[in-house]
Amino acid sequence: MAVEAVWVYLGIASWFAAGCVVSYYTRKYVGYGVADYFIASRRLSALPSALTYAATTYSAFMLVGLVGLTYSLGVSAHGFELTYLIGTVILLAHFAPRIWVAGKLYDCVTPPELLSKRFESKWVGLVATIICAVMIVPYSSVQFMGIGYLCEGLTGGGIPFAVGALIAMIPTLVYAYWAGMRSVAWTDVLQGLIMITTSLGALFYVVHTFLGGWGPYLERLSTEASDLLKVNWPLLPYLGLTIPWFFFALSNPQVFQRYYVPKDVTTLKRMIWGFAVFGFIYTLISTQFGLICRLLVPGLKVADQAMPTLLATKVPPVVAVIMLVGITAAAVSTINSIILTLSSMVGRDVYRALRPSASEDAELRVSKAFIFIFAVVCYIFALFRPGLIAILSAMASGGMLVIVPSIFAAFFWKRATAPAALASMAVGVIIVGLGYVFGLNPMGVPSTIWGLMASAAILYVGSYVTKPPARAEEFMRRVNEELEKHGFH
Amino acid sequence: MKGWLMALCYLEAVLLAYVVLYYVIPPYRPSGNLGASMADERSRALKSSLSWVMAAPSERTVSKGEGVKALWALIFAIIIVLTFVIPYAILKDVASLWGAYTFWTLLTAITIALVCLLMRKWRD
Repeated sequence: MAVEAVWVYLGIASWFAAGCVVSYYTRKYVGYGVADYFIASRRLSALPSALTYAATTYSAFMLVGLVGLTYSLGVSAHGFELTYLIGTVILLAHFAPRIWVAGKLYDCVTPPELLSKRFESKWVGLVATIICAVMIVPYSSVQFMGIGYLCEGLTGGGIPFAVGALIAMIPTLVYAYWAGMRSVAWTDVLQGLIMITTSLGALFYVVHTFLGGWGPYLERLSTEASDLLKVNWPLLPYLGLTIPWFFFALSNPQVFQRYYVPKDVTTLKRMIWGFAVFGFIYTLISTQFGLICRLLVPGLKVADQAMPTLLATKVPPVVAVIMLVGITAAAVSTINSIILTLSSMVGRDVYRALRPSASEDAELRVSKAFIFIFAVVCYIFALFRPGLIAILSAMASGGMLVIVPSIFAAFFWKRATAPAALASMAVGVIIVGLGYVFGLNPMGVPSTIWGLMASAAILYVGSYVTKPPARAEEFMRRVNEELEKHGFH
Repeated sequence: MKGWLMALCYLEAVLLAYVVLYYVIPPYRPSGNLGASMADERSRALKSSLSWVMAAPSERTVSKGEGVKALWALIFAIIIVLTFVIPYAILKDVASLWGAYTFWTLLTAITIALVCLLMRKWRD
């Protein structure tokens, strides 16, 4: 039962038009300069701060990938996603205040810029930028590909793959370019609300229409799919996926940059608990869909097809289109944030770092040009689907994990040095890369964990054999003084 | 298997060390003899914070702030360990939504509530 392409076009067009209105409105508030464009002059209020963090974090993976994971592995997938949320909330409570304070004190716009200033070396920021770009562009392409496949599958080929991917790419570009962070943050408010309301509404609809309500559904679950309620995911692969995700809040630049934007401490607090509550609810919804799919569309060979199959074969077209809009919103709200952050990093940590005499206008022009370049590159990758994409996108969370030891050291270890941080990131990413390309897991340990351990060890040893930065002590003292002033622990 | 356990132990140790050191050690204060003073300060802070946790309220000799930090460290460390241990060691074969599913859900809700509690004293 394919959905008519015209309904999908109408649904997406209505959603895009609403986003354009929001984006246009925010454009009126854009001021001058790089900091205003990329971090809204550190003046975002609580609602956009919380929802841009949440919508950026949660992508199309939730209602496609996580549903598929729950479909095949049961409640372990629920545990995986909630363990990630627990880690993120704990990390947020400790690092968000530090990054917020340091960002203000040292006028940082991008995540690598903070490392450059703390380690007193532009090369640290440059290497971190290159690692992030190489890892995260393929991951964004996969999001475009997901929407392309979903549109194609739902309409029975009525919307070709390339057009489906374009449907995700155009709003990404428009929202990111139009008014920078303000546009992305406020459209993320819209996207976040769409993500929660459409998925929650669809969940209740499916349970009541196809399963006879919550009571009969739970009864059926415990009799027909009781194996899914056990912890089925073997411990080692579970840890292999959970540990890199645990540090997502620090390793991914698009979420890191969001610690700079809250206008005050109260806003920062609301951002953290707002995100936590959103993530908690959205995770419960997504994993419930995985369990429901197992009852309604059992026997699928490819678990990732669970949600697309449910939409295409069970629910009425109008519900399917609403869900598709919700999933597209989730994908776009993640990619536009990634592209905006990466573009700011190219302008600040590559162009400005290599040409210190360049004006702020020139930096902004370069960064904005890269919004186009990254969007188009991601789309082209999605169209041609080179084999390397699969490897790089799988590496994304693990590859960027090698930056985490340097971030920890930046705030907690004054002895940490720039050469050690550089070597730590470079060697770590090479180890992770070799592991993925050649399928190496020495002693059964995934290469991401080896990469993390190697980067931490190199940072530690390297810092003792090289000269510490002259002003590291001052950096930590100033940050700690501000932390005490605001009552941070 | 051995490699995995080793990696897990390493990460747990790093995480626990970080959390404990972070809460126990007071913010760095510069002084003339950095190496010795920092080591003394860390050692003193560690002992005093642990003694605060262990001692009866009337016998506590260090500030409440230090003790509270140590307790928070302990709570978060326990949560992280429980996240992995309870579902895999105890609830693994419980074929009910009241098993691992409910455990992970409740633990996450508790963590969010605790972090909200921790943020109460943040101020502009």
